[in-house]
Amino acid sequence: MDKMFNIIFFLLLAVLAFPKTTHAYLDPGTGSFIIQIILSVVLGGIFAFKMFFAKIKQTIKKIFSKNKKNDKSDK
Amino acid sequence: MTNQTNNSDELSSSFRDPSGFLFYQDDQIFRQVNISYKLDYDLLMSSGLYKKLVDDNLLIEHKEVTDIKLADSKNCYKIIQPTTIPFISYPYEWSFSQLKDAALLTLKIQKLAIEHNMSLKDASAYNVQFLKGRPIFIDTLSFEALTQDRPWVAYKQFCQHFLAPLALMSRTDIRLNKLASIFIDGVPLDLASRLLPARTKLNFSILTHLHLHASSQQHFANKKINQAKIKMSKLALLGLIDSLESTVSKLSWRPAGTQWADYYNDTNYTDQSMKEKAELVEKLILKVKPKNVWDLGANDGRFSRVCSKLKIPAIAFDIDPSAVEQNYRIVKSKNETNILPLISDLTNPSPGIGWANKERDSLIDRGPTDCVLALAIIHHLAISNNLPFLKIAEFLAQICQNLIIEFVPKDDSQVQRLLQNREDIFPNYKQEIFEKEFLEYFQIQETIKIKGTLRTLYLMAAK
Repeated sequence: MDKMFNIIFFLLLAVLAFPKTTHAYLDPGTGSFIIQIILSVVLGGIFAFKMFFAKIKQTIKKIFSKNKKNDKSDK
Repeated sequence: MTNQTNNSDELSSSFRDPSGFLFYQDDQIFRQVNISYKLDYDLLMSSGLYKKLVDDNLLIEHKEVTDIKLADSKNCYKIIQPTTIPFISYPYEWSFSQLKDAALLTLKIQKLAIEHNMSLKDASAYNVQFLKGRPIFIDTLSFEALTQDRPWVAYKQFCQHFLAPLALMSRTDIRLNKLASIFIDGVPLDLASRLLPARTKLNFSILTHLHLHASSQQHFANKKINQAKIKMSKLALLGLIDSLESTVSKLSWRPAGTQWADYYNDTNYTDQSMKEKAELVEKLILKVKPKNVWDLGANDGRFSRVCSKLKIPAIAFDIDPSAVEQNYRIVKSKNETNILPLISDLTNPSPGIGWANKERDSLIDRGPTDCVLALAIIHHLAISNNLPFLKIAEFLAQICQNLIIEFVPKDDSQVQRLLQNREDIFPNYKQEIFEKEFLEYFQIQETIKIKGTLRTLYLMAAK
């Protein structure tokens, strides 16, 4: 985790302080893989939360609409 | 080369793909699926993904054919015939919303693919085309089985082909859509990062997917890393796609304050003569009965709609990204199926680009069309761009069989406006010279004065 923190810190520093050009003959594929892995830790977490809350919302809605139906049938 | 074939009509746009290739036979397009792609193709068809994508109009439909001479029998697993796209367009000809819709389509397909345990192995903007007014994915061989714990192999390509140009068009300058024609595999991320305003570093999504992504590419460029050790869960992959989707959705651009935005409110046409012109164009179109029309200088597509209402497909070209954007928004909101708005500078039409200048066709190579509409553009070409009538006629004869063209004389207020701030070095800008020089390439079939204006409408046929 420490290593990952160092990488994120380095990248943040690099992008904020030293914008530079890359050289076209170097394959930039590895960097795309690494940033994806780092990002996905955060984004996967956010996505899991989003799904979790969407489910809760759905369940509440279901309960609510059931109650409404019950209310109507009561009447 | 594994794709060696005796068929001389193999398309030069598909040679990079080891999974198969496109070829023409008897004017019809086919795609060979190579044996090496067998497992993935079978999975696409059996997993229910193909059916879902085709049912939702996201992927081009195809049928498997057997009664065809094989182009490359040694490597051939199957031959499929996809629905034909009448006109191939390219990302550098699309307006902001067209590129945005193509990006969202790609992500939607990737999400559905993951649900079916598959994934897109590339995310090129050239895999999307416009059919009946909507974007559609055309590369049936882009799907592969989802490998457990692997990152998305097309992430970089998606950022280069979609996210970077969209962010640049939205946050820097709309004209940066043209970068796509210079960089055939998408905008390099370090360039995008330099061109984006510094304040975009405060936007978490743009900071991570573009700025940090570019820095990461630079940092790891010459470092050896065991990629097999890089692992990413399915949830993380879905999170990444979800983040890209919300990033693209939030990017916006509002067309305003461009060259032609108020053009129709600012001409010497009265409503009546505009209506009359539309009726005359309709009359001439009905006479020609073309299979397709290219409307050059179409603005928001007012006259393209004369054709589309007659169920004649029209490509509405305009140089102004605002006009094309507005036209595309009308197409979308009215669910129009016969108009394709595209950005094109007539004085510098799309060239052939890519390997041997043949991967992406030039505009001329994608023609000719049955009929060109060239309404109210002759003065822009002849006066604003110093083009002699003969050169204009020569070009138009190359791209069409029939021509409906409007001559705008020097006394017209629009021409006077063009001459306001320049010396009148156009003694040859006269109707009789226009006719004489166009007769070199065309036969004039009809000449009609437009009531309430000084202008004349011509119907011509290429010689």
